[in-house]
Amino acid sequence: MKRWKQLIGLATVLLLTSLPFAIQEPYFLRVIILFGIYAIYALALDFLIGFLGEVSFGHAAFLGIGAYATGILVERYQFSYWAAAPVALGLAGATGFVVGFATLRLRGVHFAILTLASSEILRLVALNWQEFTHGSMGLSVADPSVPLLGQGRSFTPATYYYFVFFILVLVFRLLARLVASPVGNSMVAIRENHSLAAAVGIPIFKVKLMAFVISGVIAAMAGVAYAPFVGIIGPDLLGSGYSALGLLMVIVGGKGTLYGALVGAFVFSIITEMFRFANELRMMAFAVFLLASLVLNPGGIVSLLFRAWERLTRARTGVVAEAQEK
Amino acid sequence: MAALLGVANLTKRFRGLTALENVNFSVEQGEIVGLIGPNGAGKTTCLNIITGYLKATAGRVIFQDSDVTNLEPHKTARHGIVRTFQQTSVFLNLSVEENVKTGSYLQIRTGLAQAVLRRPAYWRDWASAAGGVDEILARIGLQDHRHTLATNLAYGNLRRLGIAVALAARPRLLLLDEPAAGMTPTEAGGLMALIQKLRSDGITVLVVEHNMKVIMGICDRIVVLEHGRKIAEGDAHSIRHNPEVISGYLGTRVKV
Repeated sequence: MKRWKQLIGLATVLLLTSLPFAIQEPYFLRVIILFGIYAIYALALDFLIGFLGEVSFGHAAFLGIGAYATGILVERYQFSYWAAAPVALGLAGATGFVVGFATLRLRGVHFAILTLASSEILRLVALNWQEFTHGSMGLSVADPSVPLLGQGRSFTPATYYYFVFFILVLVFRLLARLVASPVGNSMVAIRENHSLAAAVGIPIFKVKLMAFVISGVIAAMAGVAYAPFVGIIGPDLLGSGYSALGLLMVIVGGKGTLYGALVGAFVFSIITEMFRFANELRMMAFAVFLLASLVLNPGGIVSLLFRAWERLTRARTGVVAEAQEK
Repeated sequence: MAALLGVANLTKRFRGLTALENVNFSVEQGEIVGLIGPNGAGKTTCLNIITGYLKATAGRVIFQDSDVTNLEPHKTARHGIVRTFQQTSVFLNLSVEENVKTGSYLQIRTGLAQAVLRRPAYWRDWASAAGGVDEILARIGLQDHRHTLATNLAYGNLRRLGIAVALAARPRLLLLDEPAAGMTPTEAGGLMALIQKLRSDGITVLVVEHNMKVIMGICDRIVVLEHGRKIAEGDAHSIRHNPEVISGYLGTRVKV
């Protein structure tokens, strides 16, 4: 089993590194990079929704803070992208701490509404603080230069690809370790039985706040990568549309597994692009598909994949056992 | 020597309603103490205040010479006061093993950095936690159900798992809220044996229970509440023959 996992891991890494060479069409590569950014964002939300069990309806705020902070620092204060990025992440972490501190004592719907309100406030700030954000005109963010290779060499689609997937793999590994640790254990305990978790000594508020800040910083990473990649960002990035997109990716993909977030991001980037030829029909079909998948399969797409994998491995071990009997 | 737990002049008012009024009692190290009374007498309110789920209106709770009145639940747990709950005292969607592992949160000193870096100390912590889980499952008799989801356990085992989760937090004082509720006589018998075994392992127990067979069978001392006041305190024999307790709660002619 362990050998299999290593092989799959190695194959994934090889596939990911060779992809930009195999794909000559820049448009396809852009869609794949978008998938990577969405996946980082969806992972951040799954950490919160799937493990801690708190639903944030305003997580796009972190996406937006990452993107805008990077853009503003680069444009107005002549920061290099690589100096702006950590500042943007720090700012997102601080915002997460303040918003979390104010809202996390409330649970469920109350928490959800407050996160929605917080992100709406930030969207209005981005819309109206024209001097910094250029309001609805949008803020343009230049391609970063490739580090260590001197000035003048800007990011190409291939560089973006490696950059985004490097972050994605890193974030995935980090979160996988966290959720498998006692930290993740205590988050799940809070989700499953709030009172009992406190009874055995889990400091609920502290764990929630920590998870919220981590989730916010990771969502901001997606924003930091997204800003120069799309080149121009608008206040919508902080709005409920992107918050809903995050929720949909996690829920359609399957929450509480991390893999589900990847599947969800895949569905909302690559599959939606594949059906672009269908135009408006595409979104309608998509809505129907969404409702159907939620009603028929609340565990998300990933639960189907897991079940199939289980059946496969069980069939295999069954065969081995039979062979040994003979 | 001072008592392990001292409850002094504990009073709780919910707006107009007085749930507890000037309740005093103590629990000595190594004792099994029962807290009984009719529904609405304030038994669970009392547990909730001792463990920090409710704030007292007045009075204090002293544990091992330190004042733990109105501390948050996770802090009272850190002092060694751990409780179970009437309804669900387990994590239903986790396996038996995961339930106990989660209960042992206070025993594992793994912070964020440790969780990500996974230095050798991390694995040592995990291994010792796993050892603790084995020991508790054996103690509570659930080792054959290790990988069963809690929600799939038989009722009696589910209640035992609730106690196992609390034990994993290494309590000095274990507060049980109606542990025998809904149990068959056989299951209740097993529970009595278990509680007595816990006491011989050095855990002090305060138990709220309506099953008089359990209460009379295991308690060294019984505290009786009615309408938020303590009306009697004593051993099983004296409680059973106390006229006030009989008229207020037990009813005439108890046979146990």
